[in-house]
Order: sequence, then C-alpha cells, then structure tokens
Amino acid sequence: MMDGKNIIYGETAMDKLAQQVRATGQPQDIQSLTERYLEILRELVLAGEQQG
Amino acid sequence: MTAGIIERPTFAGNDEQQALAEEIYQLMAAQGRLFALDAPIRQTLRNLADFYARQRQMDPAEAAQLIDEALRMNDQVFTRQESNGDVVFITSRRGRYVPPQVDAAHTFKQRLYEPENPLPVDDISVVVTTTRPALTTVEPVFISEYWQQQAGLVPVVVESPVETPVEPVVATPQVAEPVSVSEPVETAGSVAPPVEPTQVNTVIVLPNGLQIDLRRPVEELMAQYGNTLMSQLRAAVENDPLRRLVLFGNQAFPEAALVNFGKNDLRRISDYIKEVGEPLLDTQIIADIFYHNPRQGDYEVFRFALNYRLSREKDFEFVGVEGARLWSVRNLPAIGTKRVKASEMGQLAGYIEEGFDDSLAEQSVESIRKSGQVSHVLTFFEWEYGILPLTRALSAILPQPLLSDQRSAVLRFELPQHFVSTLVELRYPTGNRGGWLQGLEDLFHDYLAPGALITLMRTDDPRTFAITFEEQEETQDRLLVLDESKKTPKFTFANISYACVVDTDMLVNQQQYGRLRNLKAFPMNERRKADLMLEHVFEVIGAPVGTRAEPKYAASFETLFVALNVLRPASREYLTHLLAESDHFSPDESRPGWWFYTPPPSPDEEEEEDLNEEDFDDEE
Repeated sequence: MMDGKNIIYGETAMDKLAQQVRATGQPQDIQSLTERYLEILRELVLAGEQQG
Repeated sequence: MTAGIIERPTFAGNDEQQALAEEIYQLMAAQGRLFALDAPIRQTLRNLADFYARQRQMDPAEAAQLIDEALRMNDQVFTRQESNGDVVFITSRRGRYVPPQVDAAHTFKQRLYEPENPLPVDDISVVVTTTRPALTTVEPVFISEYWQQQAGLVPVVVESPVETPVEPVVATPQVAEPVSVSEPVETAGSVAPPVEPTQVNTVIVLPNGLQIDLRRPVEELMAQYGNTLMSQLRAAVENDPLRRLVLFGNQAFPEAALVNFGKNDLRRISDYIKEVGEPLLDTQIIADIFYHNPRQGDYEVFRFALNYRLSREKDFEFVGVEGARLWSVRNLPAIGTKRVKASEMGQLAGYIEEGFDDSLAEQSVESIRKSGQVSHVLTFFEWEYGILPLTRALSAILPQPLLSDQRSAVLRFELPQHFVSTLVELRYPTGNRGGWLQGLEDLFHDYLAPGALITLMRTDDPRTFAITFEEQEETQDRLLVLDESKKTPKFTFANISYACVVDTDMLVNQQQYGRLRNLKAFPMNERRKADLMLEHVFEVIGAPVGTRAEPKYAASFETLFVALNVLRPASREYLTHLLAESDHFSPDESRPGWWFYTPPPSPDEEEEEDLNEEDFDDEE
C-alpha cells in the first residue's frame, strides 16, 4: 500500500518491473514496459486505498 | 627450546636391558628429532636387530631377541605392534606413544545442526536462509505507526477514553478470556473510527509536473499521456545508476539477465565485419559467429544482449535502422565520395536546419509517407558528388535514428530498372548542420544527368530504397563537368550521353549555361559562404548591364538557382533569402523573376577614391 504522493515515477517499484520483464524472457518495447509499470503503480496505490 | 620441558623416560629391566632400551630410545628420538612431541616414531625390530648385530658383531636373531625382551620390559615407552609378521616398536619424543583419538563430541557439524539446547524459533526473522534470491530486493524497513499515520499510510486511531477490557478480567477471573477481550472491541465504538474508508491519494506527479490519477485504467492513461509517460520512463531507465533495466532502441531488459561478451568475442565480430567489408546485421553476426538459432528460446534476449553490449563499445558504431540493426567498425572503407568532407557537407546543408527548406512546397509530409515516395530534380552538385541533402521531404520516407546518439545509418539504394544497387550513408543532421545522403555518385554518373527527374521510394525492406526515373531515347549533349585531372579543378563542357527524362531548365548544358565554364571551382570549405558564392555566380552567369566603371549584372532567378547549385546545394527559398538579404542585389521591377547585382567597389577603387578625396581636401 502506498500513497500517491510517495510514488516517484521511474524509481518506485522498478525492481518489481525488472523482475516482471525478466520473467517474460523477452525484451519488452517501451510501450508495453510503460503499461506494465503503470499496472504495478496502480496496484500499489489501489491496495493502499482498499486497506484504508 | 623445547628440550627443557621434555621429561626423560625411565627404563625398567636389568641393567643391560635398561641400557639397551635407553640406547634404542635415543636412537629413535634422534630419528624423529624434527617430529612433534607426540608424533609417533616407528621402527621395525628387524632394522633395530640388524643395526645392533653389525655394531656388536653378533647374530641378528640373537640381537632381535635381546631387543625384543628389553623393549617389552619397557612397554610404557615402546608400544609394540605386529603387522604382516613384522614387529614394529613405536615411541615418541615425549617417551611414550598415545594413539590419537578423534574427539567427535564437539564437531562443527554437531554444533551447527544439533545444539545441546536448541533455541526456540519464535520469530521468523531469526531464520537465516543460505539461498540467494535471484534478484536483489529492497529489504522492508520498519516504519513506526506514528510516522505511518503522519504520512497518511494508516488511519489515525482515536484512543478510547475508558480502558474497559482490563476490569472484567480482574473482577471475574473465571470469565473466559476471549469473551472479555471481544466484548469491548465490539461494543466500544470509540476504538476504531473508520466508518468511512480513508481517502488514499492516488494521484502521482511525474518529474515534468504532470499529475496522473492512477485510479483511471491504464489504457485510458496511455491514450491520453502515452508519449509523456513513455519518455519519462525511458529517461528514468536511462538514468538509473543501478541499471536494473537497460534499453536498446525501443526495447528494454534487465541487464543482470544479459550475457556478456568478452574481448575475444568482440574481436571476432570486428574481424568478421572487416572481412566482409561492409556493416553487418546483428542477426548475421549471431548466426555466423555464435551459431545461435532463431528457434532457440533465448534468441531474442541474446540478440538484445549483443546489440546492447556493442552499443557500449567504442570500436563499434550502430548504423542500422528500426528493423535492420547494422553494426560497423572503425577503419571500414568509407561510403561515398571523399571529395566532400563530412564537416564541410554538414555546413553546406546547414540551410535546411536554418529553415530554408522548400521541399514540402508541392508535397506534404503525409502524402509522401502515404505514397512512400518523393520526387526530386537532380542539381549539378548532387549529380557530381552523388550527394542528396536531407530535406524534410526526403526524411519523410527515410528511417529515423534508432538511438539518440546515432550519427548515421547505412542504407541500400537500388536502381530496379538496371538491377544495380549501392550502399548509401545517411548522415543525420546535428545542431545547425544539415543531414545528407552520400554514396550515389556511381549510380548518378552511370545512368543519370544533372536535371534528371528521379523518384526515391521505400521498399519492403526497412533499409533498402529504390530510385526510379523515366527513360527516354539516348541523347547526347555537351554538359557541364568538373575536370579534376589537372592540379586546379576546372569546369568545362564535355559530350555526355543520357537516357533519362530531364527538366530542360535544370539541364546544365553548354547551350543554356555556356558561361559556367568560367565558374571558379572553389575549395569546399569556401563554398559554405553562400553569399560570396552567389556574388561570384552572378558575375559569371549574369548579363552585364552596367558600365566598366559601374558594373552591373542581370540574371533570372531560375538561372541563378541552377548556377548556384553547381557550386553548392541551395533551395529556392534559401536563394531568395540570400538575394533579399544583401544590399548588392536588387529585383528588376520591369521583369518579374529577374535580379540585378551591383558589385561593391573593389578595395583598389575605394583606395583611389579615398586618395582623390584627400587630395581634394588638401586643395581646399
């Protein structure tokens, strides 16, 4: 869970993004990478919202 | 040093046996004088008997019997062992032999796995795993509730004014504990206030200040802010010091999962490119050097790794485009003419970057992209040097650089009408220097003439382009050529045959532009001074309309355009700008499209005038 103001775009959850890309076993283009990253950030803040 | 602490053993038996036992002890101690105190010193009875028999001139069997008896009497000093029918006596420098005993009571193994009193594992955090995670993970940091509340991560808990749960337990200890605990929680509404869930901020702020609400679906966000989100993420990935993800072109992958290429691999790639003599595709390098098959599961990752690693090597240069990743190395033969240096051509084509590009006057970028082709009339400069300035019309069909720091791309241009092709280098514009295509010299000279109308078009291959032109019956004409056979290059006219349709106004033949033989073939570094070139061109091609004292020339705009494009590339818009900018050029009001050029007084004339004025002043 995380508040939106604590998220730094391009820094927060980059490890998780790297893990996901690695798990795919294929290089990802920048568009799908961005979409993946947004999904991760969404999960973070929305989980925080639900918990709240 | 240690002899002082060694106790001498005492020997038993009769005097003779004691003396014999002591002598043997001394002998064996001398034998093992470099041994540790407890280290066993072994000697066979046979050896000892042989030694004494020789020394005392007696029978070895008798000596063996004496020795055996003497040493048996001193079994505290000598340990007797029999093995394979041989008797061995063992002692040590300490005077007794103690067989080593392995103390298995306190092994490391036992201490590690079987502690005498194992500690209870009541906290998972005390368990240490010996396995290493595949990727480094950021360890969670405990943040106290106070700071979590301050940051808005958890709702603020309002404390209950009355602590009720304790009293019933004290007053009635028989009451079951769960009841006493659960009751106050359920009944005391004052403990947890959140009837409404606390609003968590779902808006994030991008580094460029853009605010995005993550409550919206990803598709919606990408549709609205896709470019910004992608460019911001790209910038973040590129600037990540940990290089968790690395980019090549538009693709990303974790660097930790990429294979490395050693110096030997890089040398093999370099040698192979040099051997072939032209830039090679990444797929060709992989197939021919690494024997990697596209059907292998890790092929794309391997390909990405190769491209990424090569992009970080100084000796390799990426000259590919999207869909065709080509690699070149230093010292590869240059593509195109050497008569025009890259630095000079960049300046000559600089007018395009300065905004004097009129290539889109007749065709829009959209129509060019849609049709995939662009038409162009060759100028003399382009024909002579095989160079095409990278106008906006031309760049509409040519590939954009794949890497941010990409300098050039190597393309293949083919003439489908004649089944010939050539490598062409596309130099991208940098700063105020224009871009251009070079390497078309042979194609132009063999099949075309200045003024030829050509069409450049895309093909299915992203790095291959076609040049087509309308053919006509072979025509011979006296066309302008640059004679570089002598020390000083010179423009002249020569008989040249061509079989392509030309724009007759742009055909630089002797009949129309005979005066251009007087054009001076300036060195390239001087040709970048467009204003001076135009003045020279005007003097050569213009009709003299002034007097000897006050020279003046007249020329049409189209003639000037053709003539200026003999010395250097220039667009009509750039020519208009040059004519309008200088005070020495003036439009002919009586004839639209014609211009006058009044050369400035030469320095000699100015000096003469000054002298005359001075004389006049003196006379006054």
